[in-house]
Amino acid sequence: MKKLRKGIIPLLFLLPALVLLGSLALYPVVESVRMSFMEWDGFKELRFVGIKNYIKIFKSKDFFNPKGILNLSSPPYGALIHSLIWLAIFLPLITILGLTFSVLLRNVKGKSVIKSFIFIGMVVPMIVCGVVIRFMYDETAGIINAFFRLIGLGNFAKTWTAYPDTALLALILGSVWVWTGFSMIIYAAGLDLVSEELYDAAEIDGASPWKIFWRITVPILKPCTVFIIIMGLIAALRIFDMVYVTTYGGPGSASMVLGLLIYIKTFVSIPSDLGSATAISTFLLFIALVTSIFLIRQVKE
Amino acid sequence: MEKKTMTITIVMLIIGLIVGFFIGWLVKPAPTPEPVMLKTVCVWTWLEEEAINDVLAEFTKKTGIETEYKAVPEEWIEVTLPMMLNLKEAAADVSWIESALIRHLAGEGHLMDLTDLINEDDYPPAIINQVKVDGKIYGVPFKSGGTFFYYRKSFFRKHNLTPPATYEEFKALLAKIKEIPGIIAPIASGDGWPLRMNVEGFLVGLGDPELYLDLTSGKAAWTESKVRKVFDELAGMIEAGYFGVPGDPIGLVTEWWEEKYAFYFMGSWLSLYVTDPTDLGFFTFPGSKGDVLHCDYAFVPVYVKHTEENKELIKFLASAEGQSVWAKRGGMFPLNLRVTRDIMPEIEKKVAETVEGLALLPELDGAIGGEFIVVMDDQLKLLWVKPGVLDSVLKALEEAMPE
Repeated sequence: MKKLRKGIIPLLFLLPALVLLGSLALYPVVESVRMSFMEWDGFKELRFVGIKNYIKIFKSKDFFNPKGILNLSSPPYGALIHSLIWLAIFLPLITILGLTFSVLLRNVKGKSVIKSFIFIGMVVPMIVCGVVIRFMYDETAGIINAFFRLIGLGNFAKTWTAYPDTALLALILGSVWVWTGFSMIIYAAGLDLVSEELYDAAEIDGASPWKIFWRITVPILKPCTVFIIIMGLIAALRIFDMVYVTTYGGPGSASMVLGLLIYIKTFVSIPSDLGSATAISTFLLFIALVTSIFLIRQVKE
Repeated sequence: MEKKTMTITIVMLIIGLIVGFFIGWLVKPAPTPEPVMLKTVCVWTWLEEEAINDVLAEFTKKTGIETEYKAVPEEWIEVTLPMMLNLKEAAADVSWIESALIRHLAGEGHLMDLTDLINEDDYPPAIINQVKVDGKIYGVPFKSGGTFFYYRKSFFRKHNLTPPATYEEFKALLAKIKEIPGIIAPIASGDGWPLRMNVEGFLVGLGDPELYLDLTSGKAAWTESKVRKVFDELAGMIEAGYFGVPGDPIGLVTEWWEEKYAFYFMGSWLSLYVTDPTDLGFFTFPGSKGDVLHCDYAFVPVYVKHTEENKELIKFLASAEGQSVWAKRGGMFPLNLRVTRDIMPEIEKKVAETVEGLALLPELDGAIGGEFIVVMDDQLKLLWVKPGVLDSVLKALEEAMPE
């Protein structure tokens, strides 16, 4: 009886959370995967179509267009490749910049104020960040182009988000600006937990600051790095609001990302193409899941 | 003893509550008739919200039927409302939207047939045809705006410029304006719908109204030579620097008013958003035989509770009387042709005069709609910065046309 109580009571405490998770997270995911094998416009009867939706999205240039990247021409390369490019630039930059700022600001006077300024992008809603980014890149009113003019590089001044060859990069760099604050705070918290004695011992042993950084700081902060990469990965894969307000995936689909493509297929198409939208969602879930599991295993090892 | 009294009191209270609830449940008061309140929704805010509230107040004054208006985001009408209709629920009594969604919802059987409530002849044929499914009418053409090249009269006076009468004069004028110091480009290019408006203007002006209607109905292809010729001309003008780089449509209104651009090809509602409407001059696309109207249509779901009252409201919104209420305030071109010009503010009177004799045509958003418009807006943004990719733009438009 006692044993049974021991098993049931924790379950009872977990029940509210499990019910919420099950109904609001797990059920929609399962339903979404099921829907990806169906054809549905939101009104008529559901019809099972097997993997037709997956074939359809891979045939669609909006989703996958490797021709452009193979020819080394400017985007569009399709939302999938754009999202992968986003990851390839965004993740290294937010980790490197976050780590650099946290290490550099560690012993600086007034570091809290500086950190607050860097972190401000994370506090502001993404949709507002999108509007700000749009203005930052504007040819006449934008601060970035004003900077180019100031340093004598006026030739580079143009509305970066308006051109197919720069729109995606402009958005990625904008998101890096927003997310660097997050990685810096995580790294700073991690650094605060590192014992000073470790650094003192290394210094006594004659280790250079560079060696200390690589041999002590970086390995100790590995769990922080993995956490930042996982959070950044999820954020970059599901990016939507910033692209929606800044470029709406354009020009000429040059900055189309998976999140926006799902939105367009679901809510803009008449009739709605829910089959394709859920197939893209499922694919997105698959990438995020596999990569996250791999990274978490790395930390455990 | 005290404890006993306390216990009895609590028990009595609980019993009292239970008995009270039971009696209350048994002796229900006679149901009072629920007052009719028609809920209307649209995306209009600020001055447009004031105007529609005036229209609804007039309706209440006339019929005694109460109404309320709520401004909602476009997504609410395009996403939430259809979802509710799918569940056989009317999220609002009357809503206003462009015609493509109305045709789709009507095709699914969600909208009330309004054929017997309005007189078809009161509206421009190409406009009313947009809300017909199998010969029945499902939407009331209510509010619209014509599209014109807008300029500041004071700017024209300052630089000794005159509005053009022909397309050739227009091009010469653009070349002259381009040389004026401080001008970013002669024509402002707001991304999204303003770029689309430019294309509509060029297709009707340099092509003709028939070609435009054939394109919207799928009879003509976006890749065919007649269309290509129009786009070649447009691309040439972009290449020549007559259009600015696409930017925020609303922000550009300010920049245009500050004379960084000379023209903004825009809907006639622009008069509501400038500080001095008397300084506002406009002309239609030079030499054009038609003008594209950007229309909002009212519709009613079949699932509304108060069918008769909704029919009354629809009749009022469709009538010259109902549309006159807003037309008096300005900022809209009434779609009921019986609305008299005398009641309109000067600038709207001039709009009515300008479009007189022209074929009044539906916008692409309403005539085609859906994902095509997303593709079109996106491809036009590309064309505006890379006019050399015209072939791929036209191909993308043709591929995006609904079957």
